[in-house]
Amino acid sequence: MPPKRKSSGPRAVPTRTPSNPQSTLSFHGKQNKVTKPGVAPATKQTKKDPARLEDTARAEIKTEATPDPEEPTTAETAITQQADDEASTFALPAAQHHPDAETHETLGGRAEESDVGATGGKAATGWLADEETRARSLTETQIKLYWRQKEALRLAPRVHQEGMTVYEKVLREWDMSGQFGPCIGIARLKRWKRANALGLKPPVEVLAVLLREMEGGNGKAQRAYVDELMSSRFVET
Amino acid sequence: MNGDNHADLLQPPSNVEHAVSERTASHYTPLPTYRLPKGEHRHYQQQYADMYFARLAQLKPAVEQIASEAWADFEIGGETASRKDRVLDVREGELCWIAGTLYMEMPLKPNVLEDIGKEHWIAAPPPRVKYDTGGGLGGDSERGAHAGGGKGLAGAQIMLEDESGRLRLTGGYLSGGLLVTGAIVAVMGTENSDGDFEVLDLRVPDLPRQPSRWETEDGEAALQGKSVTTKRPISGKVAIISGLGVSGVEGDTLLLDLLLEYLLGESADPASQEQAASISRLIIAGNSLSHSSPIPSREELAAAAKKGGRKTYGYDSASYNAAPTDHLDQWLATLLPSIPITLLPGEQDPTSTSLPQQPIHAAMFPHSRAYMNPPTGPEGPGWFDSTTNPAEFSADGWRFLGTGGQPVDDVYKYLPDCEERLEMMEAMLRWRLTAPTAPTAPDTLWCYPFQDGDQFVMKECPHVFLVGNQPKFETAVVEGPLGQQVRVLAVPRFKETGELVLLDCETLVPEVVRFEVFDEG
Repeated sequence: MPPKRKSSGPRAVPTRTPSNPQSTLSFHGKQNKVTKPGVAPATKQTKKDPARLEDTARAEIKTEATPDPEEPTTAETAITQQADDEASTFALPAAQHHPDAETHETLGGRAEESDVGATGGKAATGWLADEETRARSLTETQIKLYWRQKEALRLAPRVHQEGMTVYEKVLREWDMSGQFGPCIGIARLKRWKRANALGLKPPVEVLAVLLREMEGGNGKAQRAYVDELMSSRFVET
Repeated sequence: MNGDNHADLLQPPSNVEHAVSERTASHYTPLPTYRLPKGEHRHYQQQYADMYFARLAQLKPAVEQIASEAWADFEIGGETASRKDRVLDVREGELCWIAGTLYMEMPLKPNVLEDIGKEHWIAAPPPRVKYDTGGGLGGDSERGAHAGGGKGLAGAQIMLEDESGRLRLTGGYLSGGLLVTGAIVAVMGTENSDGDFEVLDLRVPDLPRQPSRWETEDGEAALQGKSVTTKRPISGKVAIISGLGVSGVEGDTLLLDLLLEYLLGESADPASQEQAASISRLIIAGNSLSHSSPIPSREELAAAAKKGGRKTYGYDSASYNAAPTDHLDQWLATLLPSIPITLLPGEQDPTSTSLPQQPIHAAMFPHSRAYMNPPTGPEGPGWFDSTTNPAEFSADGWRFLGTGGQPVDDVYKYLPDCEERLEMMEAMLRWRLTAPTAPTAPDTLWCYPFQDGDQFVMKECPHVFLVGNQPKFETAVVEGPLGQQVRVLAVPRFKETGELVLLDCETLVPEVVRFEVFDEG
């Protein structure tokens, strides 16, 4: 006969006792329920007639969802993952201003080297030519000049954009340019690369702004502003 | 006693060498064009507008080039056709041409919003064979709808769409051609007083560039630094079959056994066995199992609802029948030692339902699994290649593009008069939208929401375009403007017709082998 195990009845949490250094699994108890609560067959208790007013009134139906605001939505995680994938195709590591740092562990691991090799170019990284180097070589003045030229095309100045930096304005204009495709559901960098690959000649200044925002650690700049507005899970009443 | 007579019966093993025919080797390179990323890298957040945008952006240059060549010197009444950038730039009375996406609004097409509304009230109508109602082309005057007793597109509206907007198309020219939602075309005409665009002529992108034979293998060898072999052995034949429909219940074993014996060279005379020995590969193009799709049909749902109110999630051990997969697995495992097999899933197979269908998982084939490459090992063509639907691969140097039939079946529903499936396949090739985004995806054909734009259009013209699960065997050669030649094959369902298609890889001429079982009485 196997030695009798000391059992203290149904316990919800496996506890560590001195006589039992191994944690055990418990397959019963409310916390370890495997079936979904909705699957249980209708028992006598739940036979509430919805036509009866008292039953309906007593039943507590939650009408509002209570999502956790800290948790990122699936849309946000998808966009950040797209941005990370695109960032990993950069040929130059982002932290270039410390060339003589030997064992400098950058935060979270920066963009890795892309193995261009024999099958480089479009197949491996998605870049057609030297857009990335050109974008990085643009100065701030050039970006501001680009923006001034864009504003000069309009008859009247833009309203409701007073509090925004030039970078934000450039990126919002990029979102609203419909000739490069829909801006919802795609990271801005990925949209730029896609437009470039399709030969639509997106402005390289937008790429410069995006790269600077990435280096600045601003991950929120990858998601279009209208995307956040359209897919907001908090509907205000 | 009669020792002489018994001498023939009891003999030592003879030294006579019997000729054993060897199967021709198959050169095979699968292309991972339609494999989707796995796990968390596969996103469904994006919308389908990305697909339409990328499709238009990729095909617009090609169709505009063809259109400008065709209409450069076109003149009507002293006026030449000018090109407009955007669909909404057309002006009334001006002869011009524009390129955009076709959109057909048909009242009987499945409409998601109507489905949701109707779900609560009426039982669903049976699925339609065609989406038209008969009658004249709606959009013409009332005369057309009432007076035209023949078939047509009643109530259907045809529109041309691009980023700027939509334009309604009219004109007698439209009733002649094949028009399907999602095709990228260039139309020439003028705007009439109603605001509709009257079409005088229409152009499609036509076939893209076709690679030469052995180009894939030579390219890969060059990349790896190996020398390019100029001498290639003589290729054999490729056997293509579709719609095995193994259900595990009916007596479908006899036809399959006949096929098995033929392919293994066990049956028939030595001449036929020689012929069977020249078959180097078997391609199974969809619907190997009879009703194993993960999504139950409406009838199954109704039956399940009637059985009891209890909903079961996932695997119900009482109702799951493992016999069909087991039977298929055993059949494949008997064939595999002798011949390499490429398996494409179909509409009724246990894999994803939206195109591109991912390969049937190795877990379904416990015996045939031994012939597959391990998933973590080096990627190479396994002997048994369970591949995607649609699939692109290079067999014996020729570029094959195979589908399980869903795109063609969906296009068939859009065309009221046309019963010619070969015409539809040719049209799909000329639109450069074969698979997985047949023109009608994602409108009426379920599709993965692609965002990148890589797999939308046919970049290179295949040499063989084979479509499975068609009602009968048909074949044709489609010729392109640059001298491309595509062999189009409609492969019939084996369960109904018992036909096996053999494609000779030197001449690309198909032939049919038919298996029949005599019914008693």
